Amino acid sequence: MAREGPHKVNIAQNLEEVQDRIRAAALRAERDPDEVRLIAVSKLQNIAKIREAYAAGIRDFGENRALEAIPKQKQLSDLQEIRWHMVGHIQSRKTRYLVPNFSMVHSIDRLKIAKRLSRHSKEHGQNLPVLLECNVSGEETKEGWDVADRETWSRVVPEFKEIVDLPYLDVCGLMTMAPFGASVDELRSVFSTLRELRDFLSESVPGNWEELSMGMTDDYEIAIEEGATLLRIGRAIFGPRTYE
Amino acid sequence: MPFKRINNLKFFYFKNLDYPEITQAIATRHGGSSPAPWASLNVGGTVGDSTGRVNTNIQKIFNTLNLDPSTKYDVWQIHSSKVQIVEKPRESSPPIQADIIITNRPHITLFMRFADCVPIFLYDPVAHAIGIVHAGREGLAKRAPTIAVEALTMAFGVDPRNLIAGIGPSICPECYEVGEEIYQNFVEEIGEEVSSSYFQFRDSRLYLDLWSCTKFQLQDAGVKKIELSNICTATNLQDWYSHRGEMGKTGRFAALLHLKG
Repeated sequence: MAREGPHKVNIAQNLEEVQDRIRAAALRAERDPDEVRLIAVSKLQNIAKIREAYAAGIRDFGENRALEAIPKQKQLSDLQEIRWHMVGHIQSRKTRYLVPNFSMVHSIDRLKIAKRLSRHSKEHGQNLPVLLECNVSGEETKEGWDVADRETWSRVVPEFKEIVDLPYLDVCGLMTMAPFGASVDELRSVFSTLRELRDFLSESVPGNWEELSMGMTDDYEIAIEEGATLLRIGRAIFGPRTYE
Repeated sequence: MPFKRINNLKFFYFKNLDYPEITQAIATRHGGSSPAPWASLNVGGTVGDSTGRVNTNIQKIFNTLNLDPSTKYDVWQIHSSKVQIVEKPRESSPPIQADIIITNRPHITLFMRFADCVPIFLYDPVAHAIGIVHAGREGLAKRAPTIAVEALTMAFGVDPRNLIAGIGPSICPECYEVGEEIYQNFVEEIGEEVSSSYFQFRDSRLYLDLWSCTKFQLQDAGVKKIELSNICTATNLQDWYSHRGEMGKTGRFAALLHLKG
């Protein structure tokens, strides 16, 4: 057993607690806890902490920036069956670097990014699972398709159809970011709206809309109750950020 | 000066890039077969010189450096910040538009052409990756050096702190007078505060410092080990082609970087 200083974050213990809470929230919502996958958001976390999380059993890791993530991935390439999720804003000139390095991209926020990822995936000859990021709260600072007003949902249909039809992209659901500092009621409304949007798309755009990537450290239990299948949790697992 | 003469050719080398794992060279204009105004080792195919002479000159450079000419990878340089990740020599395929070429594969010779713009050599001895950047006033306004370092990081996992950079012969801040519109272009692209430090006003004329601009952008991207050649193309016409110094009637000199197997 590694020696630990008194200040050291115990990732295994944190993980256990998070998993217990995930399970409880799922059962409260009469859902199968296995439907909910935990992604440990490792942005600004160093290699040692990621290894510790891996040792504790985590296989899915989320990163926000390709520039930070890719060197870390190279240093961790010995870890079997590790899956990297891109969960941050994507600059179009960086799309080409995402394709061989990420198992899933959660943060496609415009058609241009989808088209580029499709092209690069084709070059690599492998399909890329992706989610479409939607701005449910209508905050101007948020990325993604503006779906705050459900009267306008049908407007996104043609573009989403176009993305679903792009070769080498496997659209498998939606992602959203909850507004910062929102109340429990507001959070619940954001998450349930994304679920309802998913149900709407299931009717109007043929394809797979199963996944809902929503819920972070402060709100993941509410997200589970509202149907989240992918949680992006950083602080509750890793503690404060340490990366230089 | 960091020059080496081989046969009747004369090459510039970066001292900090003196590694047995790579071949690096920037060819001066000596020892080629082109007549004035391209005399004599011109490698530019779009400056009026004959294709035959340009090819002969390129062959001569490769042969002199003990490099196989079929390993050459060159691009159509368009003053952009576009990146090409090179996986094999170009051979007969058409050149791609780019001003940053990078690779981590051995037996490829990255090859670029210059006459005043800044040749930037990048090498990471840890990740075994190389790159050349062609950066003039337009490329620098588009942050080409920074984008090159980021590309090396994202493509090959390069840690910028391990990178060794060389800033080659190019037009110096004393010689490079530019118009107000160039300054405006920089301001639009990278903001006024940063831009203003790259320009100097002397005798009511505006001058652009490509060297400090390049160095700053490399440092901003995390590069610590940077060598500046301090050689001005426009004031050393005996060695270098200078678009400005020769008022457009000139050739292009070659820059080569190669990762050995």
